[in-house]
Amino acid sequence: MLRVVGRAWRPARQSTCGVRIVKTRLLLTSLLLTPFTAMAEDATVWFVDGQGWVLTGVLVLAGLVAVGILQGRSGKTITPRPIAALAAVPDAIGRAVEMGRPVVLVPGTQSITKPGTIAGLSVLRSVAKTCAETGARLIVPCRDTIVTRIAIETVEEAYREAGRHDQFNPSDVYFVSNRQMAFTAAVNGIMEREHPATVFLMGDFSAESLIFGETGNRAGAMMIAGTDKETQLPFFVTTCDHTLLGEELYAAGAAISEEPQLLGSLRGVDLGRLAVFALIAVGLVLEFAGSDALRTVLGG
Amino acid sequence: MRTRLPLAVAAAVVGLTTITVFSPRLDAAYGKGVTSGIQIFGAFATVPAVVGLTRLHFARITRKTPSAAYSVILLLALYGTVAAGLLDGKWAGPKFMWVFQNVYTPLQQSVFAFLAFFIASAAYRAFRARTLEATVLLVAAVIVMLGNAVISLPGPAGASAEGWLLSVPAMAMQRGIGFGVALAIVAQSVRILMGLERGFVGR
Repeated sequence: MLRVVGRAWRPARQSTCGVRIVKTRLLLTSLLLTPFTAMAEDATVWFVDGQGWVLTGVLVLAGLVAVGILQGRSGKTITPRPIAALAAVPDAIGRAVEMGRPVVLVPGTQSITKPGTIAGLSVLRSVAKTCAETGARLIVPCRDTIVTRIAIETVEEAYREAGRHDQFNPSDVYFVSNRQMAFTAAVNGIMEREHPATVFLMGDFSAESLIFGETGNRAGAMMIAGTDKETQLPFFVTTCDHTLLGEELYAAGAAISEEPQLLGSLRGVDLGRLAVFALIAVGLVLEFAGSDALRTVLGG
Repeated sequence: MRTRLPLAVAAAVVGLTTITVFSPRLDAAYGKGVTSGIQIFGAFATVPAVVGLTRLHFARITRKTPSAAYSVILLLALYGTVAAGLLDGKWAGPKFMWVFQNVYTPLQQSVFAFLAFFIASAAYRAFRARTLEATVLLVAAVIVMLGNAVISLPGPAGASAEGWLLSVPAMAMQRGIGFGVALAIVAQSVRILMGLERGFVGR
């Protein structure tokens, strides 16, 4: 037990057990208080001025997504929008089976903190399951150590779900290098040596996107890519057979899984898109009418 | 438990990170901590990743696969660089930096230089005017390239043609994709908060 005397913490009893408790609580107290000490030193304000509308927008959009998820949970039939690149996934893996060549999937080149990487891993799960069911070999080179660990777990779980755990080869999902161009050179080497029938590039990519696309083309692979980086999309559109554009990458995992709750979240996104579209339309009308009311309210 | 605990931690971090965007005080208190935590996890994950890489290439060497020579080079480079760092006994010592500046950097620049050739070959494929869309792309690309290199054509409202193309139609498409991605990220965050998004857990 601890009791407060003045501004100091003192132990209420001096037994061995008591000392241990005191040490533990002091540790926990210091852990909890340290951030608040940092607050006092480094920051001055609790909330940023002018961010109120952004917060409101995030909460409204999150609410719409939550409504969509709850609709899916309640059993309402939700049909996702057709995504052309996703329709090609079974054919692409089937091509690999027929040709007796592997499938290569790169789950982005960024860390797990990037939303695009999480979306890429969702696609990996579905692709790995299809590969396990059809017997296609799946190679997953990774650039980030944490992503590597997650990719191994994801692919192993997919093989287990498909009842083909004995065919899972942990050597096919591996860390290569955390340096951008070293990783790029290694993936190029895999494409040149293994001659994959299909290459999936799903996630957050940078300058290496064009190099991957062109090398895959040279190797004769069917290329399916998806990224949320608008600066890299032109390279994928130019070099790949099918491309998931921006938000389609995020929708892909949910659409392939066909789980009602995940499909419901896609419906929520569509509702959010309608809300944004309506706001833009109102803004346009007001601006053409000579009013800057909406801009003033939103702080633009 | 192996699934629920990571989902709960992820939900807590998503909530905390969202709040820190709007609160400098909380950001100062917890934002750096989250970043440091990820770096620490990454450092721990490096060990099994490097062990896995070593086992993979060692197996290729012992099985004498066609790519065994590359595996030998990789392992020599990997452990040679580690040895250089250990011999220095300090961060960014002279031996380690010699390897970095004289071996790694030239190799990296060589790979990066591929981009120049790949841009040309990709452009050739994209600019073949086989369809209406490809023709529009070709015309727009020629205008932008000419404007940046030789001659700037006049565009609408007194702007240059390449400036108008980049700042109006191209920017409108980028904004549209940006809106879509932002909405999708909000949806992904809600799925993580509700424990539905499991891509990062691996199961």
